Amino acid sequence: MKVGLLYPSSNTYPGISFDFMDGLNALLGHQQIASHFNIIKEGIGFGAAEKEVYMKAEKLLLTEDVDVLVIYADEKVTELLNPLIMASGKLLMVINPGANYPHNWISQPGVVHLSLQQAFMCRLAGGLAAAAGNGYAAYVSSYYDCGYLHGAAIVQQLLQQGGNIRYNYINRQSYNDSFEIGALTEFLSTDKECSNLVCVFDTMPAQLFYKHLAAYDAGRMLNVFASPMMLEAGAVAALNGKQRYRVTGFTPWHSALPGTGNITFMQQCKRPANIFSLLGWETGLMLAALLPAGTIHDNEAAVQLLKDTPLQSPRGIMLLDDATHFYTAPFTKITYEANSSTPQTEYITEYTNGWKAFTAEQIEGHVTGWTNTYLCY
Amino acid sequence: MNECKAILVCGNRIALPLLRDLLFLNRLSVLVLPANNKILVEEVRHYLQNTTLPLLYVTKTDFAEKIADAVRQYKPELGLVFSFSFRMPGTVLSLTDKGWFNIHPGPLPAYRGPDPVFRQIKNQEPFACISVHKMTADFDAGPVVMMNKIRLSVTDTYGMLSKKLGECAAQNIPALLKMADFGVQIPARPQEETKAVYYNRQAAADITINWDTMGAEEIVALINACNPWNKGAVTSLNNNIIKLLEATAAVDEDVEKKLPGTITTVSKDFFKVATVKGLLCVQLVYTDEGYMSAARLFNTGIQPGNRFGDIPV
Repeated sequence: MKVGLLYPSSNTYPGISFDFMDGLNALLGHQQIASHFNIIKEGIGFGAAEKEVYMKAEKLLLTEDVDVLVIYADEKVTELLNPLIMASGKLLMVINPGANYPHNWISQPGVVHLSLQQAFMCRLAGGLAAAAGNGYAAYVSSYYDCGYLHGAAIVQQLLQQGGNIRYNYINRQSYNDSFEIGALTEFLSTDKECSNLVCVFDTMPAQLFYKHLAAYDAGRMLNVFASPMMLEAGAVAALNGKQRYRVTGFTPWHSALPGTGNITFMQQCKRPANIFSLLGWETGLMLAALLPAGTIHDNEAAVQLLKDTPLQSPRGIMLLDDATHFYTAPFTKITYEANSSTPQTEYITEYTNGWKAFTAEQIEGHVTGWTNTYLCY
Repeated sequence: MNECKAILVCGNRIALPLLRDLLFLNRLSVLVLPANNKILVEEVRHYLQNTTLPLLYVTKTDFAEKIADAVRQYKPELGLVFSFSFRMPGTVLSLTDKGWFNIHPGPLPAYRGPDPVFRQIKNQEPFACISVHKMTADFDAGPVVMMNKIRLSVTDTYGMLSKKLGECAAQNIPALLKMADFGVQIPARPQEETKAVYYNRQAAADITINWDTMGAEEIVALINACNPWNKGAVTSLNNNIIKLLEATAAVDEDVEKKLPGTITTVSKDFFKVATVKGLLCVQLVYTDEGYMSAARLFNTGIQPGNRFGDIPV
C-alpha cells in the first residue's frame, strides 16, 4: 500500500515529526507489516501555508498515486483537500492534537480524523468548572493558545452549564524570566468571589503559569481547570507540592496508563514515548486495519472498513465515530490537590454522550484564529 | 499570490450569505441579478450601499449577452452561479479563465432540478447538501468539485433550510476561490449518470396532501417544505382550500381508527387529524381569510368528525 505523509515541524517541539515517525515505525515493526507499506514523506512546516499543503497533497495523490494521504495539520487547512480526495477516490487521514474542530462536524466522504481530542477535553473541564463553587471563573490563556477553538470549548461549556466568566486574561509575554501574571492576580485580589480559573496553555507557558500562581496568595483555594497540554509531564513538573491551588483536567494519554497496549507502545518506541509518537502509533493502527483493502479505489469502502475495526490503542479501544468520522478513545481525568505533587487519576471510558453533545453543536458565524497546526510554532 | 475575483450570478435569497462573504473578502468583480425578482433586487441594493461593486440586471432574453459583456468588461477569472434559472450558454461558459461553477443546494446527481430544497425536505432526508460543480451545457450535470452536508432537522422549514444552505455555501466557496488562486486545475469528479434523478419544479400534486397515502411524518415534511413560500401544504375542508402551515406528528393514541383526514380532537392549542400512519397535530393554517391559529379555528366551529379531503375542482 502506498502512503503519502505530510509531516509537520515545530520550533517548540522540534522532535515532533521524529516522534511521530518513531511511533508509526514502531507499530509497523511490532506488527511485522512494515514491508507492506511504501511511505512517501513531504514536510509542510507549521501547516499554515495553504498553497504548499495543497500542492504537496496534489503531488502525492496525482503523481505518486498514493492510496492513503496522511496529513498532520489542523482542520482549517485540511478542508481545502476535500475536493482532491473526492475527485481521486483516495483516503485522507487528518491527524492533529484536536485543539480545533470543524465548522461542520458532518463527515466528508473519504476523510477520517485522528486527534488527541483536546478541545473535547477542554469542554469537559469547562463543565467541571461550572459545577465548582459558585461557577464564577476567569478565562486564562496565552496569545498563542487562545487562537484555537479549545478556548471556545472550555468557555462555552462553562457558560452552558450555568457558570460565569468574570474576567478574560490573555498573556502576551515571552516564555522566559520576564513572564508574569500580575494583571490576573490583581483581578483575583479584587474579585474574591471568583476562585475558578479555566485555563488553556501549552506546556511551556503552563509551567510558568503554575510557578507564578504558586507564588501568589489569594487567601482562598483556587481551582485551576486545565487544558490537556497543561497536564503534560513538562508542565506538571512545576507542581512541586507547595502550590495553594487545585489542578483538574483531562488528558488523552499519560505514560502511567495501565494496560498492555500502552506498555507495548512505550517499549516499542525507540525515542521516549509522547503524544506525538502516540499519534504515529495510532496512524499505524489505522493503516494496519486498511491492509485487507489492498489498493484503495473506493474511499467510502475504506472508511467503512475502519468503522468496522475497533483499534486497540495505548489509550484503550479507539472507535471511528459514524457521524463525524473522528476517532474517539478513553481518556484520563487528572487531579492535583493543593500542596500535592501526586496526581489522582480516573480512567474515563464512558464518554459517548459527552462526545455526541459536543459534536451536535454547530459553530454559528465566522471563526478567526491561527492557521498553523496547534503546537507547531 | 494573486487573489482571483468572481462574477456572481444569483437568482434568489439563498445566495445572500455568499454575497455578504464575497463582498467582505473583496472577491467579487461584478454581480448579476434577475430584474424580475424585485424583492431580491431591493435586498441586494441594501447590501451594496457602501460598495462600488457593479450590479447588472438581466432578463430571460438578454442575460447571455449582458453577462458576456460584463465578463469582457470586468474580467472576472471565475464564474459563480447560485439558484439562477436561465441556462448559461457555452459561449458564456468559455469566457472566464478558471471556468464557471454552479452552487446547487442539493446532493448531485441524486437531486438534480430547479428546487432541491423542497425535494430534500419532502423526501425526509436526514441531511441536506450544497454541491458545487463545474458548469456544462446541461443543467446540474457537470463534474462535482465539492459536496458539503448539513443536518436536516424534522423541524426545518423551506425558509430555514435555505438559510442554512446559503450559509454552508458561504463557508465553502472561499475554498474554491483559494484553489483557483493556486493556479491548479480544480479537481472534480464526474457525476454517475446511473444515479441521477431529475426533479421538476413542484406541481400542484407535489404540494397537496394525499390523505389516502401519506402518514403524519410525511405530511409534516410536506408542510415544512411548503413553508413559507406556499404558505403551507394544500388540502381542503368543507369544499374550501386550506393550507396547513405548522404541524407535528403525534403518536396514534386513538383506539377507534378514523378515516384518514378526519379531525379527531379539537382544542384551543391544536387539532388532531387521523392519517394512515399516526396523528397529525395541527397548530396553524392559512386560509383566504388569513393565518389562523388552532384557537381561531376552534371559534369558527371546526369539530371532531370534520374531514379534510381532496381539492375541489
